[in-house]
Amino acid sequence: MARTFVLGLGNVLMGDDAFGPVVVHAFDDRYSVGPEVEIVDLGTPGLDMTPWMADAERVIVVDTVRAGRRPGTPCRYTKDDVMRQPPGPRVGPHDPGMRETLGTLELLGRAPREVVIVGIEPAHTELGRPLSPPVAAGVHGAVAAVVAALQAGGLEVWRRSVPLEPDRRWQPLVAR
Amino acid sequence: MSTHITVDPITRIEGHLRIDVEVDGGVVKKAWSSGQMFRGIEKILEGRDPREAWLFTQRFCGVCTTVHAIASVRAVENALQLAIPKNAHYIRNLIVAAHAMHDHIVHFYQLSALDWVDVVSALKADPAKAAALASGLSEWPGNNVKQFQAVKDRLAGFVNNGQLGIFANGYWGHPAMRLSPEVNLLAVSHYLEALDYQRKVNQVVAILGGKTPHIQNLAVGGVANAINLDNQATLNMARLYQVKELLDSARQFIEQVYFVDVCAIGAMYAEWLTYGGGVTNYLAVPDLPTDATGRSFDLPGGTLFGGDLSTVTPISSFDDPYFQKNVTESIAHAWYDGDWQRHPYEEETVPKYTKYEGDRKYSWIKAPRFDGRVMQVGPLAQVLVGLAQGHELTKKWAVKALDTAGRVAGTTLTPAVLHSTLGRHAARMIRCCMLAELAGKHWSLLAENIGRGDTDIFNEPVFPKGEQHGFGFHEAPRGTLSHWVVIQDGTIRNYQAVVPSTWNAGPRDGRDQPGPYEASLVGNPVADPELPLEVLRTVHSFDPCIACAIHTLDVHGTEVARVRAL
Repeated sequence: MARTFVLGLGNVLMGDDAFGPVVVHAFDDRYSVGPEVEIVDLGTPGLDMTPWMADAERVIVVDTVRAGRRPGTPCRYTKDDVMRQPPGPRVGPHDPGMRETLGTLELLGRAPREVVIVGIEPAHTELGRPLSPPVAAGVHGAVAAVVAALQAGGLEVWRRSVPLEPDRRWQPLVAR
Repeated sequence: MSTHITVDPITRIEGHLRIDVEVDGGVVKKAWSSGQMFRGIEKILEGRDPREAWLFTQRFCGVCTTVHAIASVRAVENALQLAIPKNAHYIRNLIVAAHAMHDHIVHFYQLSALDWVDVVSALKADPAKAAALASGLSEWPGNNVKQFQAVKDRLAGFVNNGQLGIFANGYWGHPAMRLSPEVNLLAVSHYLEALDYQRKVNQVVAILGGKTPHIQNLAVGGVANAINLDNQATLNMARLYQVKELLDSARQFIEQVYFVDVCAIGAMYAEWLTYGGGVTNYLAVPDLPTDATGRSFDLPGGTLFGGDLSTVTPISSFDDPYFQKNVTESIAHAWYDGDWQRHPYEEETVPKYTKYEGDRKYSWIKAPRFDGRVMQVGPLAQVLVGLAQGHELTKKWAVKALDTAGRVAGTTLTPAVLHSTLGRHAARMIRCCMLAELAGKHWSLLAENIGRGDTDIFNEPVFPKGEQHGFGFHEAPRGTLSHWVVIQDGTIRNYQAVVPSTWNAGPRDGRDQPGPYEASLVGNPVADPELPLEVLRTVHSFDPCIACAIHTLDVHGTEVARVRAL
């Protein structure tokens, strides 16, 4: 069973919010990993992130991060960075809830030992628009960051001799 | 002098639910519900292949993925008048049931429990007393002194480390919190246990759907789960039994924990069986079809008006004309160009944002109406429509729930109390118990049908020249969902999704009739305008889900106060 998860977060229909899923698919196309690693396009799971993080050794989250920097600026955060922020009240189940998820799991004693967030500053998250040029340019670097994060954890990552070309019909939308 | 309160978590996600209420003398006098994000996602589908629409629609929303996939394939099948094989129905039904069970558990424990449960008060609980209390209500093995003591110790460690901030969305110490420390401890323990069951039912969706959260196994015309009992790579006996084990285990949690918790909380907050009713016109569609053509179902559908359970109009097939003819949407108070009320086939989506003006346009959500009337949708609608039709399974669980809650409260409860904030929680739990039982039934139907040698899963769709109209409905966790498609020469010309939360969260219409959220808040007490817990209780009881949705972290936490009292 996998103990390390690479989770791509975001909505593929919403401009730069597609970054997370795009990066994990790009990783999947170019690299293979052992059974101890699972790569998941998790979309926008809201409250449903908890089961993916429970009991994990290591979680690498790829996501857009608003920090007021120039669009396309990469960033990296750890569990401590996330936990330092206070959570807000929830109105719906969509609220990202990374902090609540990690907090609940800490209370259970089942939180992942390590969390790495591979992020990028988005330019826009508008419906039906492709990735903005600066964010699209950041996909490659984020894939490399995922590889590095896995390797830093002592996990093996193999480059595929022939990249996969899976059927991914929503992709024209973000690549357009 | 009235106070105006805005609850608006707008900062983290662009576009969200904003609730405004006017409070006078500690009671809500008027309310507005506003969707803060344009969701014209349907436009993305224009010009595409109808067979692929579901791949896009399941990306509408990260929480309701499968739901939009199911409604989409049903709509296209309806347009083509295409029946699907029995196995396909059963497999879809298992996914539908598992997803809904999952969603209901998550809603109660993760989203709503902290509206009623005071985490900090649990620190004062006596674990032995909590265990004694629990043993009188349920046989759940997790209800023991050791477990409760462990939860209490963990919680204490958390508070001492100053980590309780993760529950800052809970309003502990609020005057409207009223459970005893022991009940609070019990609930916190179940809140933590719920996680495992959330994961188990999710695994069912993953096994049958190929992946989760975005299932891969659907097709217009059936499913793509090859069935071969002797083949490791297909749906075989080992996988089927794995599904059964997971479903059985979840059912135990639902019946012994979720059921009991809702009854107990319902009994201890009995006054919330009197607030939050609002719109008492109800709409539900039937689901979990048991035949190939979609004419018999295990979950009931229909309409009833004015809370009158003696008159109900059933909705009874996938092409029911009563449903098809009566659905319209109004944009009188929504940020779209014009002021019409139209049938989904005739709609257009032309956004026109103006500022927020409560008496004019104030929401991105259109206002769906049924025969011109405001309808409340959701588990409560399904349960009431079922009771009104004498639906056996609905009666069984509703009676059991009302009896149990009544016993705890020391009173007699009738279905009339369900028109309320806690009634919606009760109905969701009742529906969840029904689904847990029905998932077992549909598992058996599938296993037996395969056992008879039927391995059909797919009927090829054929798209004729010309124009076809189709609608597909699905009774999703939050209520009636319908997708409406117009196909022209094999491609999509128009697509509309009328989603449950637009029925409930929609704004006023051309006749100024408020939507269900808006109506339900009127008459709610508000003890402290700065901490409008009571408003959240009623809004949460609908299980709001409107953002449809993006995920962006804000690591620097530049959030501003979400609650403004003016």
